[in-house]
Amino acid sequence: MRKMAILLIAVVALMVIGCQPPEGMTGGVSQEAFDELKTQVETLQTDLDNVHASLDQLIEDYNALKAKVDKGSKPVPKPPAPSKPPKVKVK
Amino acid sequence: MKKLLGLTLAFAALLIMVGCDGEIALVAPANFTIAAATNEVDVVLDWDAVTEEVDGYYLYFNTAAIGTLTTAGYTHVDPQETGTYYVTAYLDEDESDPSTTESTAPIIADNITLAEINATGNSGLGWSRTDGSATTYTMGDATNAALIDFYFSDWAVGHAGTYEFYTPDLVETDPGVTWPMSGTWNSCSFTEVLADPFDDVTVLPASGYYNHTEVTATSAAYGVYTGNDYFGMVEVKSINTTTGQIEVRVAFQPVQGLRIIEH
Repeated sequence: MRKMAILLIAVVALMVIGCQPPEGMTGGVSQEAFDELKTQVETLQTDLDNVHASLDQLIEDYNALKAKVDKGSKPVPKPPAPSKPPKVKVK
Repeated sequence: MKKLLGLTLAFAALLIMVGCDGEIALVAPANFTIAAATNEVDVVLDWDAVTEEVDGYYLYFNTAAIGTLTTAGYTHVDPQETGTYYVTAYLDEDESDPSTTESTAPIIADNITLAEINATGNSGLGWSRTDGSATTYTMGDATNAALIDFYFSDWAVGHAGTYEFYTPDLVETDPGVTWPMSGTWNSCSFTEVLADPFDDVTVLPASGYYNHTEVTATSAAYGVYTGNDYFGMVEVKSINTTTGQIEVRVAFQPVQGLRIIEH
């Protein structure tokens, strides 16, 4: 019985020691990896913002183009008339 | 016999006296001409001096005597009206037959249709330098070039643009011309719309002539100055934008360089 208790304590001690993160690690992830991950997340956030902005612009362009297409059934404006010769005073 | 001889001599003397008592016909002045002075409003009259004995000359304008002259030649200063001139020679109470009659009266032609250069009909108009008559011509035939004083165009393909009178020497660059064309075209110039209507214009402006002028309204009159120094006038009577045609009345002053257009 006594042996069993010692063995149990030893197992618990080993488990406690095994669960401790190595030096320089927080919660199992190193600080460098964490910082790198944070940077990547921030970059992704920036990229996402850019994608949103591009999407807004795309929608705007699409709507403008659609408005032009919708006007397609209206008469096309005449091309400008050829410019007349300069008016020259002869006499 | 002696008596018969006396009667014969008396009869002969009577015949001679009767013959001498008859009028010696004065010779009419020859080579009577009229021309415009350099100021374009005076009329210069000239004729050959009669070589027989004469006291002078009577000058007539519209059949009324306007001058008694002792030498050949006269300038009718700024008459402001047109008409016919002739001259006679006189000696004492005797007067010769008149010279030839010369006229400054413009030649009027009415109800002329001009078509825009892409419309159906003739676009060009020319005045005869011989009799002042007006004739329309197609601009599609460059062999007419020497006969055309001006033409009618909207300076575009089709005939829906702004109508104008143009100097013919621009026609080869007219966008409405879609056919091969090459010719020696006359030049011409035009005033803007004159202040007075066609029938009230007596003397055309001395200046303000351009190589083309816009046809803006009916009942508008325009002065025309041809490249070889003749003056004319055009009245636009109607404009039909559907057919591309206008109806005009024209006047032509047959005396070269004379601006008087009273009619």
